[in-house]
Amino acid sequence: MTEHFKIAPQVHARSFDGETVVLDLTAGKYFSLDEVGAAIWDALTSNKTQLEEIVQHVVAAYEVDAATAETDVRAFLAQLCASGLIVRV
Amino acid sequence: VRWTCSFPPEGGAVEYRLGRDGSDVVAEWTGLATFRARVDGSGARLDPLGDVEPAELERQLGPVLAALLGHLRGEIALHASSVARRDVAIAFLGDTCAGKSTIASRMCLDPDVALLADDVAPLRHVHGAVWVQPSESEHELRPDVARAVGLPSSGVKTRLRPARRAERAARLGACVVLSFDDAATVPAIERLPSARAFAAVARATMRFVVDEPDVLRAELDALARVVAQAPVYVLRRSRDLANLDVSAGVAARLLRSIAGEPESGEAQS
Repeated sequence: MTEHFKIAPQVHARSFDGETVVLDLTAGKYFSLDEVGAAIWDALTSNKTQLEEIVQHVVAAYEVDAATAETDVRAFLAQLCASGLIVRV
Repeated sequence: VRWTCSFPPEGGAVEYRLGRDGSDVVAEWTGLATFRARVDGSGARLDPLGDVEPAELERQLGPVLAALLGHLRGEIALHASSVARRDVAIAFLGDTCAGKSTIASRMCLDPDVALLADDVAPLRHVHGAVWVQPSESEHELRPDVARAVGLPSSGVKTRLRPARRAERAARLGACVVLSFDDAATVPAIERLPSARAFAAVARATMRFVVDEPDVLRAELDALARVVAQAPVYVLRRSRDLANLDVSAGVAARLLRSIAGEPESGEAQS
């Protein structure tokens, strides 16, 4: 079954030289995403909501095989969900 | 009032607390004053308590009230000292006791350098640039620091006037995070990459309201403007005051550089 994700409504983000800072507007907490995290965030902001689309986005940007990318993307999305920055849809 | 934070945070007699009363922001300084404003900063009102002299109230609360109102109105203030040279400012960030006042007081011995802030540096975004507002007219120094920079000292931490106080805002040219490294034989300065620069400035930002989306959005945008305009450095140096001249010299060279002045000793043509 295809998994879908989207950015939570109560967040505000800015990019800095390839990295991204995300602010949770409900808790006032800042989160810093590294380059790969920023690429995943970029996919989400580009309406790539399906897990497979996000994995492909990472595979296209970095020299990584799809299986490794999927493992890493799943783990990262789980962290974002736990932090309330994205939601499953 | 729903109090959301107080100082000191570990408990004991409350010196300061901040809270919400519906859509109002309320702050209270024990024995000094209470403050109330709507969350957009409108309708601000300060009510002194007891018979505190207005000048004393301004000295004690002026900078932090400017920071609080600025935050509600979409600006930020840094917990920082700041000095200016030729209308360009440098801000020194760091934890309590990191030496922010110390290095600012040493730099103010230069007759071309003026004090903007000792502890609270309000920033304003005007005409596409970030400016440091003059907010304080005195250094607050430990006696040993006062002696080290040649100012009169007493047995306690004292407030001392610098030779020059900035009378107008200065464009923020750089931020310097102060860090002690007792193994350092010479001070080392290093520019931070963007994300670490953002984290350093965010850590130094005085935050009063963290539950209002509009205030928080404006805060992130203001932080982004600061990091886009002003490079952020970390200065690691020994805490030994005998090395203060050398550490302040590093910061002074950086300030001259961002103010567009040649290195001292360079040939003038």
